Amino acid sequence: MMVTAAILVALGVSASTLDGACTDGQLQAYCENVAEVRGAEDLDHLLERPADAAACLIKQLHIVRTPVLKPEDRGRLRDDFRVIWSLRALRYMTHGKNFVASPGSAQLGVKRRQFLTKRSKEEVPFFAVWMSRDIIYVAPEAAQRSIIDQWKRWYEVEGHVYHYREATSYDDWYF
Amino acid sequence: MTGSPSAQGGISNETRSGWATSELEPAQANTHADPRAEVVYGETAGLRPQPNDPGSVADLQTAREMIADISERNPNVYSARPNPQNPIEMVMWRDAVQASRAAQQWDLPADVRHFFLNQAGVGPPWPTWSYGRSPYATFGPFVNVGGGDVPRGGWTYIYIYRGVR
Repeated sequence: MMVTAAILVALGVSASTLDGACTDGQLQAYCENVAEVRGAEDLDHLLERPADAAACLIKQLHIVRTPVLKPEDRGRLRDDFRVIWSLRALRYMTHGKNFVASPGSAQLGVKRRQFLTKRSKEEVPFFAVWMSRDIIYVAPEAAQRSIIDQWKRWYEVEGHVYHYREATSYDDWYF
Repeated sequence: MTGSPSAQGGISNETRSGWATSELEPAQANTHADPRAEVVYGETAGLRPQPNDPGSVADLQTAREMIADISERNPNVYSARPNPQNPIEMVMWRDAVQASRAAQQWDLPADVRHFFLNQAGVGPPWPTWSYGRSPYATFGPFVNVGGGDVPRGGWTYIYIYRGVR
């Protein structure tokens, strides 16, 4: 990552920063309501100004303290769903980029563990989805914190120069 | 069932009704390692057909077969195994094993990769990932006695989706 940053500096491209980014009120409002989108097509709007949109989405990431989010909780837990949908939007506009982190020693329960560790026992994503129930299982807090930090670091290095393009499959951004 | 008749795979309802109550040797049911059956069990063990309705029995078993097939191409499914000491769970397990076996005989189109369970009138009628699509096939209503993730009740439907990309 440091090497990439050095190359960017050498090329005269300054590192991106979240400070001062995401100042457009309209884009801000869109990102704040990202959990209301009804499908992939709605997220295409973010690709019109992807670096700004990515900054807005990353700035609203925070720790989700509810380990299991059910569809019927959307109204009650809007802020938690906004975080999940911010990550979905980021994954969508980066062609499926995903960060993972160690689950640590947290007790997860059977279903939460099964979904979060489907791809790896050592590293979990921020969230995983039980398709047939549309239930979201959220990673332990330490893993969440690490993943949020990874998104922020990624943005600092690549946010303004990244080749943004949409994911082509729900598997790459929704689940 | 509604949707594509071809998804039935030419297997009669009578045969399917028989599957739901067919007998596997208990030892076989206990020891048989079958990832597809574990998904079918994990996803549908709380469901029962409508009482005194052979068509509902056949529908539920067909839905289980589709779930077994889908489980091979979509990992976002729940797997579980029964408690061998629990006779009710073992009945559901045997149905799951039968569905897994039947699913070997025919294949859904490759782009049938998603399904959703819903208790009518409770929660969103469809998941966000299916927005704008009609189900490829719909099964139900079934009785959900399991509670938990899908509310208990007599109006549980299974929706199979095609072409979610």
